[in-house]
Amino acid sequence: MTGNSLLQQLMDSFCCLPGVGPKTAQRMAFHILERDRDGGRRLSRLLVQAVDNIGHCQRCRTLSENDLCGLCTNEQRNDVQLCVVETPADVLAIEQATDYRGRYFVLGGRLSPLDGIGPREIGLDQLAGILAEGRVEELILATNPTVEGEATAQYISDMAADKDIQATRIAHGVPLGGELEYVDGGTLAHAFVGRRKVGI
Amino acid sequence: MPNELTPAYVLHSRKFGEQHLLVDVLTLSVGRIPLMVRGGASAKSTRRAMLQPFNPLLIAWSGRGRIANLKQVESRSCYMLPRGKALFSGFYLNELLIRLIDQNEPVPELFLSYEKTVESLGGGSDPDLPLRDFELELLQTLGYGVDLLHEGRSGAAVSAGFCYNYEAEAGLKRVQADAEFLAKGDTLIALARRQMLDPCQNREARELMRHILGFYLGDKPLKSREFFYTPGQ
Repeated sequence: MTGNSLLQQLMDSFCCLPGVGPKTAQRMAFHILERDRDGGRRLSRLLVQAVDNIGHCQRCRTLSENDLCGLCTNEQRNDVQLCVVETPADVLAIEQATDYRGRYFVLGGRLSPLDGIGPREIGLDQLAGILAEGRVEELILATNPTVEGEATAQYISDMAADKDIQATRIAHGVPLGGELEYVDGGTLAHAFVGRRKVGI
Repeated sequence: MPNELTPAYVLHSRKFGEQHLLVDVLTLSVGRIPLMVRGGASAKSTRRAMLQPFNPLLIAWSGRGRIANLKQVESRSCYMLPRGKALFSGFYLNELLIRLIDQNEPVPELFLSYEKTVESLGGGSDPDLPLRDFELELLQTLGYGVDLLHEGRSGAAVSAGFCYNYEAEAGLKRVQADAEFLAKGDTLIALARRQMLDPCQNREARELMRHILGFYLGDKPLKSREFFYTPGQ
């Protein structure tokens, strides 16, 4: 069972997944071999297919097995709103939690000069092309509320202003069901600055 | 020393593995140091929100070896995140520090200059003068202090009516009025006295500092300069 046996190789391969250490990898390997060989076969077949065939949507850059993803080809969605997010996982999160019916654009990262990531590396030239088409009226900036995310939102809002497109930023502040006392100072300060009128 | 809370700023942070953060901090007491934040990148971490660049912090750390562990982090004052272009200027400061300042070298005066600059960026006031002040302080700290009031080789006093170039490691040099120059004498004198500059002087001062810093930064350009979006790009 030690050395470079097939079993060991399988366990080592599971360790490439996030959150999976040697112990979990061992459980997974034993589960597949002892209880669910069919499931294992299906998993391996799908893994190969997915890795070979899933690329990026040519328009919004999310993960897709076709040239254009389902969201971009869906004619029910409106072209007037475009939501900019950092990762494909963010698209799913927004789709599941909101009733947003516009289009998306996935950056695949955020501007970070100290990591060597500039505007070109996150596809902003492609976004400029979409904005130049003239259909987008509202650009929703849903990058993460980190300093880099803010910088990215700022840069894209400058691009939008250049084309006379309204840019909006998602609100951030105190989480729903949270208590002010336990919210960290930065978040609270941000929430305070971003307060809005209530009532009439 | 590390066990006491010391003023600090996060310059940059990145994920280390799934759960941890490796942060580069500038501290008042020991200069720039790398710190490991265990569990800092996990979804439940409350420290991550605090460990953002430009947030004035008090930190304590423990452990020996090259990378210590962050033990405690407190907010020092209100977090005023720079907005708009000032945010990119902030990244510029951080990139300069990471590129030019060695780790574990105390630079208390530069820390104070950085703090003043970050505060003025956050406060929304005109950032040009604090930025120039920081750049001059940075060069002074590195041991390449710039004498803005005298010519490098001759030692002659800079005069408001003349034009000047800057030769790396030599200093200012007067040039003929019709030749190319970096800055006029009046700009240099105003900058040396940290006086308010007019837009033309501001541009000259910016170009002068860019030229001087460029020598020490070498061939690799600063990435944060790409951030200043120019329409029609």
